[in-house]
Amino acid sequence: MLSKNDKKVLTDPLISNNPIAMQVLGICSALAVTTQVKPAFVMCVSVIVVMCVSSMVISLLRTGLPSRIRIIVELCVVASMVILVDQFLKAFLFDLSKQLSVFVGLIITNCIVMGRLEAFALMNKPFPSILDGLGNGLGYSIVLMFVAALRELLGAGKLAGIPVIPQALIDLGYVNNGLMVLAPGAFILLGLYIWAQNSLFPPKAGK
Amino acid sequence: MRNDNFYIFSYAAVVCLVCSILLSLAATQLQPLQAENVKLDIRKNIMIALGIIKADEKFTREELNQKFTAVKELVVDLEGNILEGVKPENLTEKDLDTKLPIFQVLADGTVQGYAFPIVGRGLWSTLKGYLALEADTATVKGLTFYQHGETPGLGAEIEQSWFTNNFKAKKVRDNLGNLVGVTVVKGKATDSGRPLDHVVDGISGATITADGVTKMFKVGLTKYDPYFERVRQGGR
Repeated sequence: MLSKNDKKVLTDPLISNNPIAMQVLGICSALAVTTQVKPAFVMCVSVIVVMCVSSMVISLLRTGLPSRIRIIVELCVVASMVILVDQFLKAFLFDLSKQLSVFVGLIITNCIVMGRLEAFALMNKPFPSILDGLGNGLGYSIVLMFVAALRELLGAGKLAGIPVIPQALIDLGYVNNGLMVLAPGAFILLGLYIWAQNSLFPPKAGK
Repeated sequence: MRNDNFYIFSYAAVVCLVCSILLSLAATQLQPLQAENVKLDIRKNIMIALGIIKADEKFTREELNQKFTAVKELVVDLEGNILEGVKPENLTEKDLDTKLPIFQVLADGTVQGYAFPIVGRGLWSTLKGYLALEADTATVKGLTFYQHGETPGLGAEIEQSWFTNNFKAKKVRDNLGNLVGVTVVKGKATDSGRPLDHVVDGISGATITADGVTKMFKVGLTKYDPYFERVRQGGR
């Protein structure tokens, strides 16, 4: 169904050109919303929706878009999308939107979104642009879910709110690692992830 | 592609217009749903504080509204006089300085507990919640937080039941009847060396949020004290 090029656009950002691990974009939200799995998941879905739709819109506008105001127009589109997502969450997923509080609004400042609009959607047709948005959103999600799962597991002994550390282990003196709940825990995990990725899938030289 | 000023200005104007129409449409269409959610959430929190429902139980909209009929809403002024004909939901943000909503839970005609809103400052945000006292007006019946912008996993833990449940059965008055509130200590309550009736465990990494909770207890209780004083004397 997808052409070879389309597939590359979709799958490249998952691992080999991952926006967080390779381009080191979007770090701020990767640190902020990854203390627990559930809010991280809703954040991922929101980012994917925002990226797909705004990539499509900017790609549709690309031929008539005056280059001198393109950043402002991009910002306008992204901000509108984010507010829309926030409004929908408040109307239909009230409890989760309360948990995420300010972080949904902060998708506007996520550099991945603007970065992909500038780098891809401005120069490509709508369909590949949507794929690019989806791919990068998924790449972002992979790293976020990895960090969130480890932080919740090591920091609170739970996964998605369900305790997974056996009581017997706690009775033996097992203690949750409080560092994982704090921001430095995310930094360390993210650093390890980037290191692992670079050793397993080294970036092509001379790029 | 044209790049003259007229084109750029009209392009920007059209983009702004489309975006604003879209957003105002979404906001007005979804507003009733959102308002309903907020109202329901407040009712839910009042009932959790009063112990009518548990925090992890799920109810439909109708069930919640049905259960809320067990709660009697009233509004008092700063001296503790009941203001007849005033409903809590009609109070504006400004009214709350002088008019205080109280929610009583009744069983067989006698009051089983009192819930009232408390407000305080955390690290990042304003904390809003409900505190419920037993009929003796000195023992905590329950506590909930329904609005805050604290860090998930740290300050945001105040809304979790492991934290709020610690407040249950704590005393907000000492043996002499003085108002002391409940203090969130650093670390374990048992290590603080203070009377256990008035302290609860803290949250590591969230000391400022916890201090905010301690303070909002004191402020809220002081504000409602004239009313509770009358309750203690007159048994209303």
